[in-house]
Amino acid sequence: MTKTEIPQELFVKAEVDKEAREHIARPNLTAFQDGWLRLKKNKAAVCSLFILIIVILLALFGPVFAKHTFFDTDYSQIYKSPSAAYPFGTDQFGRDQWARIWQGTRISLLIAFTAAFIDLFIGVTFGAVSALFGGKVDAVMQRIIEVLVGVPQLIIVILLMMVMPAGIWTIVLALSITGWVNMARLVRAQILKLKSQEFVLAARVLGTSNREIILKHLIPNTVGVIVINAMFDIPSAIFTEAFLSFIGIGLAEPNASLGVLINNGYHVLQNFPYLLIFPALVIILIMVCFSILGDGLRDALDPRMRQ
Amino acid sequence: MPEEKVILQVKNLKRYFNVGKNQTLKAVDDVSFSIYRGETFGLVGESGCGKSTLGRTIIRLYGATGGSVRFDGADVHGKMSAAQSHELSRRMQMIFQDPYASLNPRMKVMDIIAEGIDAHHLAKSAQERAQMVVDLLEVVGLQEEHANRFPHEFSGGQRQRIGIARALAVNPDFVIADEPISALDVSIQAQVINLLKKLQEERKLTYLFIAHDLSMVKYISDRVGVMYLGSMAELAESRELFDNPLHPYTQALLSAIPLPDPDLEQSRSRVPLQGSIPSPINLPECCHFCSRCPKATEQCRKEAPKMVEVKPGHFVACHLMKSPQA
Ligand SMILES: Nc1ncnc2c1ncn2[C@@H]1O[C@H](COP(=O)(O)OP(=O)(O)OP(=O)(O)O)[C@@H](O)[C@H]1O
Ligand code: SF4
Ligand SMILES: [Mg+2]
Repeated sequence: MTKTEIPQELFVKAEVDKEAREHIARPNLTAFQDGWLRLKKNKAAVCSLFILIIVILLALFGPVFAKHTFFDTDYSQIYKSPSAAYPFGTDQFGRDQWARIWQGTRISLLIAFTAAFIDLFIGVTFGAVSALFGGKVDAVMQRIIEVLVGVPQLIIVILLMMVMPAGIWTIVLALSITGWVNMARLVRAQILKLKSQEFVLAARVLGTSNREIILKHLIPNTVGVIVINAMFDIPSAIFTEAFLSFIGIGLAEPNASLGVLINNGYHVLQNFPYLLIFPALVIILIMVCFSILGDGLRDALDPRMRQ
Repeated sequence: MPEEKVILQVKNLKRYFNVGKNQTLKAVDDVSFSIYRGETFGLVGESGCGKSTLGRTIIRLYGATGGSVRFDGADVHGKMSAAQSHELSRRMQMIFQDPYASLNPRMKVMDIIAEGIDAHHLAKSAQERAQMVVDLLEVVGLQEEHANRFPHEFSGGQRQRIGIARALAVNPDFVIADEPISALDVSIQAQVINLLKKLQEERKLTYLFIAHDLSMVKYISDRVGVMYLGSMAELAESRELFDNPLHPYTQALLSAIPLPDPDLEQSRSRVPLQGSIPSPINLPECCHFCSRCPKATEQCRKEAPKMVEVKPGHFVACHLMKSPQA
């Protein structure tokens, strides 16, 4: 081993200027810009968002541009395979599958968005009131939730479908009766957690009013949980609707929803598989994309997640 | 000490928590002491002995189960008008332990520091508010450009200084610092302590300084109280407590601190603490330290000792102590 001598003079004290030491190199961004930047970095989430936009646009305008309406029957054209005239083929009544699928997607999305919105509204209000009031109010409200959770959703839904006329709003109601419970629990847990966090205690010590504490501390830190849960609510509502229609207690013919179409295709699966494959593909796309987007949003909305 | 020198008087303060059926957790049980204007009162004790609960009850984050807290003569838990109560929240402030949990991750530093300014309407215009924040940032050694940042962009020490600036924004008289440095790197601890000391001189602040580490308390406090399982074990002037500890628990705590002189360190005797701290739930009537005390007697297991003033200003709660008059 050779020893290298380093003369004393070579050592120079590194001067760090006080200002520079406290300097932060990141550019300044608002919370929204920041979240968007992070979402953009997540390729899968951006892809999902893109696909969802296309599906929604097709659901809105697909039926408009079709040559046939979704309930037009044409008995000379039954069970036609996909072709230029009928991109997704026709069914047993010679109805245009292209029009029916986008009409079905439209109905499924309408049901899902409405149900998710109602869940959000009831769930957030219920959870927030429960957590903010605490004590007896909280205890009673928690018992209500426990009862609702105890009864299987399917039983409530089936009973409801029997007494009410089959239709979109019956399904929405059936989905919302118990659907908000999850949201309420999450919001309550989040607010309870926040209430004992030191920054909320600091706000109380500073004399900040309850109204300001809710507006400035509790809501901004709960939005992420709400948005993400709503994002996962939508695919689950779509699935439940499809399931109900599939077992025959959802929407009735000639109305179309993705579930109705899948049910229809299932009966002729061996001879005309395209009648099942196309609606199934659409439902899978919607559900997978909403889940990936929900995941991406969760990460993007959390300012601590960024590097 | 003359009455007007006392800024905070805590008398027989109790704070119990109900945990489960018929289970009471006496987090603070019959604690009395006074804090004098302009001093730093150090409060030490093991984790879970009720230091934070005591601090939070004093500052009204928790209600008192019993006893009273008087701040400048006014009973803080008693009836008072909304305006009086609001003014009290300006005069008493708190610095928190966890620099990561004590700042709202979704607010910019500007709004975090200005929270008290807004709550008490201390600024007449947005411009004045911004200027106040910039001045406060400077006081704690940060810069103007930091005002538009989010908390997670800062280091632990910087965040703690933001927390200090937030508390100072309302010009308090009395500040409770709940383990303000225990979550920080050792190299940063001294920096924050020195800042607190400097601020105390400049702004005539009174501190209640909570810590579980005796050595830091020794450096900063004028008087020190030692807590064990919800009650005060010993209370004395800082020097007196370190030179002449009387309570067996204080002695044990002090003997656990290594001495800087290696010869002394070799030769000194240690009083090791045996066993672990018992659960504070449903404690029997006794000296709470009796399960670990090397000098415990029959009497210790039957009745709780009272605080006696052994020497002027030196209080001990232990049956072995006799007050000079008795
Ligand atoms: N809100 C609460 N509900 C029930 N028990 C509580 C509550 N807050 C504190 N306790 C209990 O009271 C006791 C004292 O807690 P406290 O936080 O005051 O201790 P501490 O001395 O500050 O400890 P540390 O050094 O860990 O901060 C603990 O046993 C704790 O579990
Ligand atoms: S009262 Fe008894 S048990 Fe308690 S500290 Fe004194 S000697 Fe020990
Ligand atoms: Mg504590």
